Amino acid sequence: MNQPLVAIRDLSRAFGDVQALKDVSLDIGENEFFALLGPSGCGKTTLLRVLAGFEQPDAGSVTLDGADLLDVPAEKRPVNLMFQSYALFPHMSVEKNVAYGLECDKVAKAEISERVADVLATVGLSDKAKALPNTLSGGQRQRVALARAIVKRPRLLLLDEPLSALDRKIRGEMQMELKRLQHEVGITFVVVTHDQDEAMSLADRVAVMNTGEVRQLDTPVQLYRHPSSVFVADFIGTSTILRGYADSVGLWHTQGLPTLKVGDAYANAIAIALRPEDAKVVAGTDVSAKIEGTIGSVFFQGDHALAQVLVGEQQFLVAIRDGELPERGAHVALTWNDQALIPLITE
Amino acid sequence: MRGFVRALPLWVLYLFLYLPIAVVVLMSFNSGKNPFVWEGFSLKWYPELLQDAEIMGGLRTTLIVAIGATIISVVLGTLLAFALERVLPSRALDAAATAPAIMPDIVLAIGLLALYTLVGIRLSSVSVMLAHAVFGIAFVAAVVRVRLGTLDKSLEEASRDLGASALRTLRKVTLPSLRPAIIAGALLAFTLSLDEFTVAFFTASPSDPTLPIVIYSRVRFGVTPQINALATMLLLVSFIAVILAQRTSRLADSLKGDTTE
Repeated sequence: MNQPLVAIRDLSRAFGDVQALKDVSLDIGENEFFALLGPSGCGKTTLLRVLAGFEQPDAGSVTLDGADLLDVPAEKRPVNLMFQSYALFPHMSVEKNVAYGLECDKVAKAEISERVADVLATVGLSDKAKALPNTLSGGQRQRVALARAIVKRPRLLLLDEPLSALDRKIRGEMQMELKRLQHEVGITFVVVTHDQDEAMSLADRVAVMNTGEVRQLDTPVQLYRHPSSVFVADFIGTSTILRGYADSVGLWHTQGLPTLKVGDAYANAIAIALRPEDAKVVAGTDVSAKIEGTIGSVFFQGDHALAQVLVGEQQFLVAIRDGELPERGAHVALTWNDQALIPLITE
Repeated sequence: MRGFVRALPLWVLYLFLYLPIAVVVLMSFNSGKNPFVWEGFSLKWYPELLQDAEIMGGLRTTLIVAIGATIISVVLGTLLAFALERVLPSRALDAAATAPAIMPDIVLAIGLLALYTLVGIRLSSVSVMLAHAVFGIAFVAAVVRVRLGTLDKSLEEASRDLGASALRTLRKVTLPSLRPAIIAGALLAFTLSLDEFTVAFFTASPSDPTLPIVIYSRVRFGVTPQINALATMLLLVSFIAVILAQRTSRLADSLKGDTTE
């Protein structure tokens, strides 16, 4: 990355005893679609509010285009926020809501109406210009909120849980819509979400946060394939996590399980993770069988099914793509590629 | 018929509530001078009312007092609501702000009269106006505060985020969101002032009485059909106020639907 658009350095913020942000440092690039992902209370919303200007950190710095951002009041920042509740002004029409930010900047009347019409066309709401927000559907309101936030052409657009208030069906549509818009308007997007699917499918890069810290920052593919900690492996996607240790001859020891063959690279791992799609159910007699167990619950998901395989106290999750679904209680064996075991270095 | 029997207590209750009012309205159309004997239908007391200088004077004073008290109540009550909600949230101050609304009128009346005498304020329509503003402020503050408390904070943040100054946010976002509550508070203050007797009786100038005082002084010598006509008209005004209040609160609900979802 050349000069980053936003550079966040050693940001800390405490609310009483709760450390909402702990020495957070990260860069966000120009035109990037960036996601802050984490469970509630992980500090992602605080970080968003610091960027928007509604919250001041206790320590650290934030620059935008190389210039200090923290000293700029919220109303003067080239940063706009799309609120989780959308925060549409209920007494103003769609058009008035969208024009509000431009009116604050004293943009000429003719230009305002032109830009408002443009942006409403972009989000596909030209025919709702005169409608009041409470007459619109959830998806439409969200489009208005989005239009209102991008009409000022901010350097940075912040989106707080943009899809959480929508039905599952519209959510998929809006996801594609957001991605399309980001390409079209060329604005840097930072989305805050607790929904991993949302972050993974939308973002170019994702910062996974927990208890005020950035645990891992990477592309969705890398995060999924190479989580570095138990937290990230557990939070992103589904996986079977086996705690234990590797010995000097490359064998993995987990209490209650037979030893598993791993490589030298696992020496300092505290756990290993196995994605369900990397494991396969085979007959107990198969030569490739690594471990034996019995089928627990089977969760049918349409294109695949997720089967629980119980080995002693430990449960393995296995994706089954084709063939008969196994019966509960059936005796089976599991196999996988040794490289599929992901070493996890930290908690 | 069974339904009627089952609902009978309800009808009796409604009769209890509305019989006195029905009598007043009915007798206002009585052609005879005796207010207790029906002598035939007539509208003549209504125009006669308009000719009555004392009643018209009382009406004028009452309207001046009510409008003035409403304006003072709305401005100061709204400011008070902001202070209690945003600047100095305190339960003690809260209670102190609502007390004038529930305090016995007679206590307030005596206190105000004593204060006016002490400070040397001459009794006039202004002294009644200020007196009515005392409880008007409390009512407006209470109504506006509730709305302010449930106001979605992100609306004001959104306004700032879009580049609005604090003043612009107040003018364009906060106050319009409070408008239904402010209107409801204003209607409350207005209607309370309109028929308020006790406080006005103590704080009004004897030469410039409000309408309820005029009515009281007349009724002491017996109810006249004119008074019935006047009461009927006051009833009409209150009905209109109630309907207006309901409409604005319904408007408030429909607006609120957007932000609470």
